[in-house]
Amino acid sequence: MKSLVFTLMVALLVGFFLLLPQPQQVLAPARLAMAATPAELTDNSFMLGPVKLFDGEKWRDERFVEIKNGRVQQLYLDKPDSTLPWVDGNNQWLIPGLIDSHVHAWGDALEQALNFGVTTVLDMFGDHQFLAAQKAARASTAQTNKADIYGAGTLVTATNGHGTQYGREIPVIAAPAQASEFVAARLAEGSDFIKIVYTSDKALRRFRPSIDLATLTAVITAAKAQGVLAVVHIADLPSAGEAIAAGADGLVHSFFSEPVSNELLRQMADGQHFIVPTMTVMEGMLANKINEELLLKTPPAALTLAAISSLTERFSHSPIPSDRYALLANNTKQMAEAGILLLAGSDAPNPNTDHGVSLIVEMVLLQRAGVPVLQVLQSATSAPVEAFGLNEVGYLRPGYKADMLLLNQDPMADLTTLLAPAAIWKNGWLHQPELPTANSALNSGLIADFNTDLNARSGGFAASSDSLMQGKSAAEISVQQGVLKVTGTTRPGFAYPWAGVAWQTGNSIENGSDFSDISGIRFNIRGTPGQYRLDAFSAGSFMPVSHRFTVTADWQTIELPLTVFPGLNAKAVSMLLWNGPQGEFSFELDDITLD
Amino acid sequence: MSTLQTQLKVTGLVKRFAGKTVLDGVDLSLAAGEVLCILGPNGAGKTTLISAILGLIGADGGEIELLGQSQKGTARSMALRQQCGVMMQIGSLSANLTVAEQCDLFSCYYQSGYSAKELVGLAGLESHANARFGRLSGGQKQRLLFALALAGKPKLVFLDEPTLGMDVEARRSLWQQIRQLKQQGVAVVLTTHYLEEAEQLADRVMVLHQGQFIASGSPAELKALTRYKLVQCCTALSDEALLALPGVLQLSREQGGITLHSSHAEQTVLALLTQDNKVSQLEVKQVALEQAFLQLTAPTAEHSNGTKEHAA
Amino acid sequence: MSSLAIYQKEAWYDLISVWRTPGFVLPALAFPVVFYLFFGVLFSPAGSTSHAAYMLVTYSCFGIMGPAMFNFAMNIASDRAQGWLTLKRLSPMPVSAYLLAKMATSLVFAMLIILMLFSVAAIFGDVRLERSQWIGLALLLLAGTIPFAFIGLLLGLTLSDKAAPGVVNLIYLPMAFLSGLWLPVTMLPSFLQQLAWVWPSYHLSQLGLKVVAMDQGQPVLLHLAILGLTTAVLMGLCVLVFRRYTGAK
Repeated sequence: MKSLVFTLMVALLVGFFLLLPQPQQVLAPARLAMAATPAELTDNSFMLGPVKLFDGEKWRDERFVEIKNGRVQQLYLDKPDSTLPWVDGNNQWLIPGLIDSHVHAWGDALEQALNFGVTTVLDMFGDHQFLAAQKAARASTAQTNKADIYGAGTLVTATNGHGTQYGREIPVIAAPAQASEFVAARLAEGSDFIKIVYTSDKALRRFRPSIDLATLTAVITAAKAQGVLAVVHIADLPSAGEAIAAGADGLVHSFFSEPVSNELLRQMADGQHFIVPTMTVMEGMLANKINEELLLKTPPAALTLAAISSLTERFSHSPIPSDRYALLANNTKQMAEAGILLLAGSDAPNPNTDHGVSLIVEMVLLQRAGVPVLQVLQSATSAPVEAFGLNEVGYLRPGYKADMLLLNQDPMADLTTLLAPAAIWKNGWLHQPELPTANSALNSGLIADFNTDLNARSGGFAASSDSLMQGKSAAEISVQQGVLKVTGTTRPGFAYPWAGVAWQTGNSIENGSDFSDISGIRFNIRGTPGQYRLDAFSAGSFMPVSHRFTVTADWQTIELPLTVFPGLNAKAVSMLLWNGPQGEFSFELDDITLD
Repeated sequence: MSTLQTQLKVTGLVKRFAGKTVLDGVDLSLAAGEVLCILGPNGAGKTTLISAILGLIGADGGEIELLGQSQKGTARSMALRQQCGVMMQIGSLSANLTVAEQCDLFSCYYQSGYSAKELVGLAGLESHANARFGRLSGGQKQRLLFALALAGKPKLVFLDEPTLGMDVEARRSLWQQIRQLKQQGVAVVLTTHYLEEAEQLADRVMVLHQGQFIASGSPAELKALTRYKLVQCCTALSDEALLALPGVLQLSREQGGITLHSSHAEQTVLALLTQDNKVSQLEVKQVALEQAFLQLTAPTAEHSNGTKEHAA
Repeated sequence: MSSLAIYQKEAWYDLISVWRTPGFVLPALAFPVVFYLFFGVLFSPAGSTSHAAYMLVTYSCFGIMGPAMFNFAMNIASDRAQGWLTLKRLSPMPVSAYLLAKMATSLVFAMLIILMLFSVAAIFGDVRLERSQWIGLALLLLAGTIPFAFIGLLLGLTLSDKAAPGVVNLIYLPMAFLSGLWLPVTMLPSFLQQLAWVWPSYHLSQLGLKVVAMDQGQPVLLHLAILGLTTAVLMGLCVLVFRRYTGAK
């Protein structure tokens, strides 16, 4: 009886505590009414403060930001009484999420961008289907691990012009008369604005064919008529001048061919044209020091091996005098002083850049070029919004998306604090970057002997050819009599034709394998006599470093030290690709060994 | 002395409060089945003595032996407490608990004692079992406290003024219970103001005065110790003449009669009759224990002188 | 009877005895609830649930302190005066059973106060906490009765039954106020805020506020250490006083 009563009492107590109301959402509003850290919050409605607040345009007196359903609701001088959970801002620096005004996004670009606090990117040429697929997220404040994307979709270029060399068939424009239809087709595909590639006849160097001035003017006019912006890729002063004169809203590159003219400065300032200098990508062609200094000495935690490959990748072009970088910096400075709206853009993932992280490099370069730091902050926040007429992002003001960065240090004093933000919010949700996993190291020794099958000690073998990129080459592989037999054809078609056998070095093509302990590679080969090529790929890069060698009909052992692959990121080698010679070929490969 | 087992033995017990000696070398011993009555005026040290024996206060000297075990300091073992019953003079129970509840609580303290129901019966409070302690009369409270003192079927019982506030009926019934205890072989220490109680119950009476036992014996012995007798009569003799009679210590007059306190009553009566042959209503009385007690402890040295040598 | 039964009955009858004292039960249970309803719920700044949660913690502390201090101080003083304690000491009942019974009664009252305040907070104050927070707070408050029980014990052993209630009130009410249990401690003048460190109730309330993340941000260990030290000192004093009271040398 007594124990029954006791049990009943205990049951009642348990029942009471089970009945006590819990917060409806995962998070208790009352629970975080004081001093939560960002990580404790699992909602996109909260009160953040006290912070030092940069709203995209200026530093404000308000110290508390009310976030409701992922948007800034209100700013307050003092902490208002609110039912919202309170996240302690620790008096740190709060700025809008960054906007990268020049990227080429595919794959995991938007994830990588967000990992570095870039919450919005402007794509200056990419797969319009990728753009179309990602566009819907812009209006939403749902939790996401991707940056918002606005984009040009397919760019406007001439036959064989810049933009056609990447192996993907794109429409090109041939005559001014096609302009209106061409622009309409782009908008129908989902382009937010029109990007045009233009090189003037007056330019000192023409790398590739370009549309003519008449077509440029026609496309710009058509874009304006259809209510969108037209921005122009240029690489020299005459092209810039003509594009501005033709009515381009902005230029998406600066140039280092010659000093900017006062006339262009005046024209751009007066006509409120903007420019995305993309100094980082050019720094890679010229000085090539900044990544080493800012990123590679002590890599940020979120930096992937693939990103490092891309950051260390080089353009293959004839050397340009490195003092041209000073010229570029000076042009940038003069543009800033002339009052031209500067937008920070990285041109990722071109060589020397990668998504997200390179925008911060770009900001540092802008500042070092002499752009006032406040203007640098604007160039990655409010300036792109003003330039492109965006209306969701770039400001921390009521109604804007709660894309925010909380910084440990004053960015006015040191922009590199952006490399390690205290917190990143996307749509009001705290974004915690998934840190890259390390790749596995490969030891020296036999990789594959093909005695019975294709099996390799690490990774695997597969036939590979440019048919992937709509090229005209082909390859097949098989194991015959204890060797790997490769047959195929290498035919011109794709810009970089290839056919042969690829060895993916590890489980992950993104991470590759660590070749730090490897000094060289050795293999036995015989086949159709000719010039063969071994391509080595750094993780994250689709631009191989190549080494050529001669193959005969007799077996020979080829020994190549890794040093024959300059610029290969030995910490992350993703793939080795044996290419056959031009035309039809057949070769046998055996006993691939690492030394 | 009895050959029965000695249940309580106190030797040379000394207790001082603030430099004042309250117990000054007290000795006593008590055998099973014996009822010891300690007499003494207020302030004589009765309660102090019991408190010291029970370990409620520490003693400054002397030895205490309870149920054959020598006691040190104030600690009293659980086993000892199981076998002792105590009814203190200032003993009040929680006013909010009923008789039955108090009995239930106390009965659970003892390993082999009375059940709660038996205790209610012992107290004679069956009809008040559900009455809260605070609502009981003084006598009923005392009965309950008495019953609780017996809760563990003790071998040694201390009763400090047990019949205080009881009516005659209840008192006689309690006496009966104490007699039963004695028959069961329980050793009882009793303090009381009611000398009739001592006469009725005590095997031995000890008189405590200023921290010392000044007399000890059976009630009869004690009475005999007091050689005084009362001579009452009606006489024409003057006070001077009466006080001059042999053996007369004191004289009092009331309603025409006189009372003489005499240490040698026979000689007093002989002399009285010789001097006044018209003496009427002559009566010689034994002094009641109560009066003997008063005389023994009266502040006048004259009266106590003669008895000093009898101190135990 | 087993000694466990002694502990059970002692606790049970102590509880019954206290429960039959309306002069103790009503204020002990009603004051915290009424105060909380007024200052935590009705006069809460509009739209603020954090206020109700904050006040829930402080008034719960206020609530559980009362029975612990009063039950020990008043009842022990009166048991001493009436000889009840003497009688118990003479009976074969462990002193610990007596003290633990009082502790159990204090805990039962603390639990009742917790149940009532939590209910009021949940129903009228719209306080929403994680289950772990509700339970953690309740457990903390129950454990938090210990130092106050020792304060009560010390007073009960030293004061007369007449003086005990007054003296307890004289300590209880100012201590509650100065610890920020009626008004948030931050609303007190700064010298009083500094003084708040002296009171065990301040540290208990800060621990409670930590559970709902509204404390002033000092480390948990600091509060625990001060509470532990206070309890140890009080315990030492109680032992000294009790020794003197029982005449042990």
